[in-house]
Amino acid sequence: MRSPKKGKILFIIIVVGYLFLWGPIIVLGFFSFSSDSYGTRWLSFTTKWYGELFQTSALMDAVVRSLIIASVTVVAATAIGTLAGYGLYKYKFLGRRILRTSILLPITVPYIVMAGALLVYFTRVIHIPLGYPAIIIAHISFSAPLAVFITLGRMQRIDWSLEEASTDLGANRLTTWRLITIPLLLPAIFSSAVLIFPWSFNDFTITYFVAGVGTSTLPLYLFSMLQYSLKPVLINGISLIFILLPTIGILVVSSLQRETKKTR
Amino acid sequence: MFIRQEKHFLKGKWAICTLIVGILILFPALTIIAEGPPEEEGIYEKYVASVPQGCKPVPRECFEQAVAGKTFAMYDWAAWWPEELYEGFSKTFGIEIVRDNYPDLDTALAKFRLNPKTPYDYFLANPKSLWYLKEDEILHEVNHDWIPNANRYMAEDIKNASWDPGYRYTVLTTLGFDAYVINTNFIDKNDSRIPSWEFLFEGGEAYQGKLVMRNEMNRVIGNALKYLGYSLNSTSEKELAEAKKVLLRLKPYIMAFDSWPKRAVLAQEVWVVEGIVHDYLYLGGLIPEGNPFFAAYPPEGCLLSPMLITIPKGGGNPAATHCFINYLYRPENFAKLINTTAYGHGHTAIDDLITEDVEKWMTPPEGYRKKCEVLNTDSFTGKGEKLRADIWQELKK
Repeated sequence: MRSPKKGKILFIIIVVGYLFLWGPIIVLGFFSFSSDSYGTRWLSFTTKWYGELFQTSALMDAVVRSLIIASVTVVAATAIGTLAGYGLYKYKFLGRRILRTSILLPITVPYIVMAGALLVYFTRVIHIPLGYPAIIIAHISFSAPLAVFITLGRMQRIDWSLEEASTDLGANRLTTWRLITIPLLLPAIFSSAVLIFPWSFNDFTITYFVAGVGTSTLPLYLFSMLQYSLKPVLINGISLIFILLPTIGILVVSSLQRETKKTR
Repeated sequence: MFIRQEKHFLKGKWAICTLIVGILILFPALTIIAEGPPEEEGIYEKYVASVPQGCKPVPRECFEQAVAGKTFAMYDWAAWWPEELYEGFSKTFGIEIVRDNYPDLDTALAKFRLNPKTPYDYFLANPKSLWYLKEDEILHEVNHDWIPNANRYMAEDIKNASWDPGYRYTVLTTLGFDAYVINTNFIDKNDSRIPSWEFLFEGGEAYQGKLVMRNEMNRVIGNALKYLGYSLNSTSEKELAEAKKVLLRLKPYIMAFDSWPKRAVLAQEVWVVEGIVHDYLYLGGLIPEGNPFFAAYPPEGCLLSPMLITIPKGGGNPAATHCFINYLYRPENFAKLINTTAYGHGHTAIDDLITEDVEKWMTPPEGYRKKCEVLNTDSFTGKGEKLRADIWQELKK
């Protein structure tokens, strides 16, 4: 049995740990309601920055572009990553180990190197127009490996006899994949999507280099805005919204999962 | 039989209807072919009629090319210039502006150098990026016949400025003086060393380490050289060694090298900030107790930072850039720009349109500009760059 003293210490450590993680976000959210347009001091309570946020068309355009890019990337990178992970785990072929290791490359290479390389590759080798196609391909290239590794991790814990049982009972490959494999991989698919979305949404370096005319995303706009804008507090507001939205999403999904478990 | 007749009857009726509709469509179409589209007619004349007195329109050729291009791709800073300038331009010319923004000029330059066909019609550059873009031959020359307002209103010394003699590749927008700003709530502006660089470089005890310098090697070292009475583009090892000594002596008093020091300045955590002084007029206006900032223009001179419109070759509508330049140089538009940014300029016809606050803030002492210098290749290439990089490395250790 744990002593009450140990429990208290543990509790304090947890509180300090979470404060360390959440402190900047709390401060940012707090100052987004301050009437100080730089969001650095508390003057008085206001919600006017949120109103201005939605009226700043350049900012809202950047938000929409970021959402489009991140959504397409999530779907494509999760699908590609999951299939690649499945293939790398299930099928034995020559060079599998090398392939499995080398898939890490886009994550380990410094972003600035990757960005320059992608720009040169797109414009001088394969001639992909800069803009949405280039950004989405670039984002998939650095986020799909993440899905591969999450899938591989999940697959190691799955009891594959379920797949065999399904085949023994007469289901074809597609039915087995649909009714057995995908549900088993669902936590991995979901985790990949949850991780890839902010990764893509927040990316600055690679997006900056492969963005074309009229495809500036939110991080690009915010960085430029820092230099001269007299209302950088808008950054606090938009950041808070984009912290709260996925947080609420995750909470909803986890509560749904709990409900489903209870029903079962 | 009846049905057949009815069909025939219908056929005849349809034929007549088709003929009438055909004539109705064909006639105006033929008129358009013969005379040109009626809605196109007079657009240039309308634009010419809308040009304010004292200003000149762009030539018809430039206007038509720009309008045919439909869009105008701009690459500049976000949230700096007044939005109404862009909106007014779009409305005047019927051209849609597509704007993208860069985080800093070095990063923007890297993008152009990696992809010389980067498709922007307009790039707001500084002298350093201008030099590299010219070297890489990725800039169009300015067609002076297409910018009559700039020809008329730009100061003669600006037309032959060192960064681009004859303004072949650039048109000046704003001029920034890279000096220093003090917070008078904490610092006595009657200190005998102010506004000399002596206060910043030797007055550590007065500001007790509350100094922020811009995180840019050439600016910091350049201004130290200015303090010592040397050129900020010096490549002399002796002079740079002296500048290094000054900077190392200052090091304990530097709170940070910061690319975006405004937040800390506004929170009044910083008492002295080295940087472009114009940025702090409106920032000071955000302090409820009243603007405590004072812009110091050191008599030794300082770094001059011009922002220049350039026309990259990758863009598809260079005529639109000329239209924009000509539109911007209308006095009422240029005054809007200066009143919003509080920067210096080289426009000769806006003095009466500048607000008192901005006038007071942005105007250095008479003849001050001559004491200032623009960065040139001596400082950011070859030996000059190497010597500066060594100093910078030691300073930031």
